[in-house]
Amino acid sequence: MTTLTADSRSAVRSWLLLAVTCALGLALALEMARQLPRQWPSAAQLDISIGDEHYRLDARHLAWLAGFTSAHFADGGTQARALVHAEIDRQLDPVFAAARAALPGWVDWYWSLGAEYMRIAAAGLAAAGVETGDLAAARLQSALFPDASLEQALSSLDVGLAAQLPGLFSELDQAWLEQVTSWLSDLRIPAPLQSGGQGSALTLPPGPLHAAVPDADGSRFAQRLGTSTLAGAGAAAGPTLLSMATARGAGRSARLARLGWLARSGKAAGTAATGSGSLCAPAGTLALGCALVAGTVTFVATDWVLLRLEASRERETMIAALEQALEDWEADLKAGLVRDWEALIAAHTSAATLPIREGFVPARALR
Amino acid sequence: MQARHPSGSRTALALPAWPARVLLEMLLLMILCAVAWLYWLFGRTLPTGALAGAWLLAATPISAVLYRRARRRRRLLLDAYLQPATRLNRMLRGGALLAIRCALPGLLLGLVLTVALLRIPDQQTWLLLLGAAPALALSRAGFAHVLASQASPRYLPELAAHAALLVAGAALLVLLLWLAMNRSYPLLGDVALDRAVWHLVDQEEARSAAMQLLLQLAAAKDGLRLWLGQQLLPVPLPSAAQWLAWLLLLAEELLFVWSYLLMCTGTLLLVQRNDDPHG
Repeated sequence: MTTLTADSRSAVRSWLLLAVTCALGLALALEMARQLPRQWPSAAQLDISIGDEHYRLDARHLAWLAGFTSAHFADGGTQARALVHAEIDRQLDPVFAAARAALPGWVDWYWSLGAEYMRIAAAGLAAAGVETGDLAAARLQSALFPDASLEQALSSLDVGLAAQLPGLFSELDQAWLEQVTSWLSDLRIPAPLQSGGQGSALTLPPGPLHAAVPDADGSRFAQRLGTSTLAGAGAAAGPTLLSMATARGAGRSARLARLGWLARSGKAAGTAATGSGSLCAPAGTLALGCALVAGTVTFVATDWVLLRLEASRERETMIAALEQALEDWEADLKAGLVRDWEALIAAHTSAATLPIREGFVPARALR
Repeated sequence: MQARHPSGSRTALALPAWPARVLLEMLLLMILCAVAWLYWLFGRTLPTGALAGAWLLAATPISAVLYRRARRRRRLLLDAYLQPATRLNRMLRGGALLAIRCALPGLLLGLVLTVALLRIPDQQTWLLLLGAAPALALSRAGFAHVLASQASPRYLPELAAHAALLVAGAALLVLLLWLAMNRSYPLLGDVALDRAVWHLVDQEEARSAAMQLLLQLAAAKDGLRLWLGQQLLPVPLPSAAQWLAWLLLLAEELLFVWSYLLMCTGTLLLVQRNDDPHG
């Protein structure tokens, strides 16, 4: 059995101390190499740069900036939309007013003998395999929008808006910049020491915001918009209108006009036979010629009378249906134009507010 | 090491008598370093009251060292000019007034230390401070051993402590200067002084407004120093003269090293009251 003397205990204590000291030193060294000091989260702040100026904003100012920017460009969007609406009305309303005024004339032509026999000829050619197109629709388009008036109006609209909207956007941007830099002037801070050194700084668009809108160049935009709009609007006005009018009731008149010809032909043929028999009673070659002329005249006269009777019954209905179709088509066309320009307005608003929406939402960024 | 036990019956692994004491001092100084490191880790999140406590904790051992030195000098003076057991000798040996006179620089150095500790920029510095703890204890023991045959036994511990303080302090200062010379600083060569100072001050944040103010003052001082250095002494350093100039600019580390080692020495002093030759 061994008993520990005082020296042995002292030696054990020394070795124990040495071990504890070494262990503590090692543990401390490892932790010291690993840990970083805890930073005190000061009042949440965000450094932003607008142009060449730098600002430090706290939660209150950030909330104000986000709210002001959103409201400012929402108002700007409203102004831009109002401008688009006004310009569309200014360019298109006279064209459609003239088209409305021209509608009765086309309807009168439609119920004329010339139109009747043109339709008969077109039907005959179509039966023979010759494509003549929709002659009535082509006539309607040239009657309502003579000299490509609609295409010209649309082109003027595109060019005008492409010139006016960037100016409006520029004014909006300038007003925003002046307001923000004026109100934040007390929060200005010196520029960072090294470019790119401040990783947390948020850079707002420094120059004209509308420059960030893709394809905002006036001519290119007008060309793109014009091509698409005109292709779907002015060039196809006649068939579109006829198709809409047919769907809205004028179809009955049109169908009557087509089917009625058979009935009218039967009646006219009967009347012509009776008339030619009573007028050319003597027999012989002369009598045959007389009968042909008398029959033809009687056929045409009877057809004209029947056509007049039918026109007097259907004309107003057809005009009303076509006016309604014209009105609906005008509304559709304007809505389509507004949608096209809305994309540009939305792109500007988005470009202006994107850095703020993505850079900081006060409730999120300052959490 | 292996030594024969005096009884001759058993052998035991024994260390000489003084290493046990040195080990205790090393352990104590490491614990002190760990406390200082924890203060560095969490100091910026502490309230003013806790920071004031830390300041007093740092200032107390520093003041103790200064008080002890002052009393030693006073004792030597009185021994030279006065009879040992006179009333005048007792009155002048140093009491509350001397303590207050030593507490004032102690408080100032403690404040410098508490601010400087919080502004330590990297972990390497802490590894050096951790290494300084055993170095100080070992050098104290070494100087005590070396000077034992030369110095007066009454003042040997103090003399050894003083010598250790100088040697460990010089080594620590050299290493800290080496770290400072190889540290990355903001480029201030092309910016105005106010902008340079603003950015350095701007980076200092703390929960305590008083500590934040002190940290910002220290940062402003650093900003001025670095700006001057980069304006007047462009890098790379072309000559020994510029090296020397930069070393002088960075030599403010001396105050930190001195206060830190005084705190270490004072802590040992407070723990080992029986070493006081003056009672």
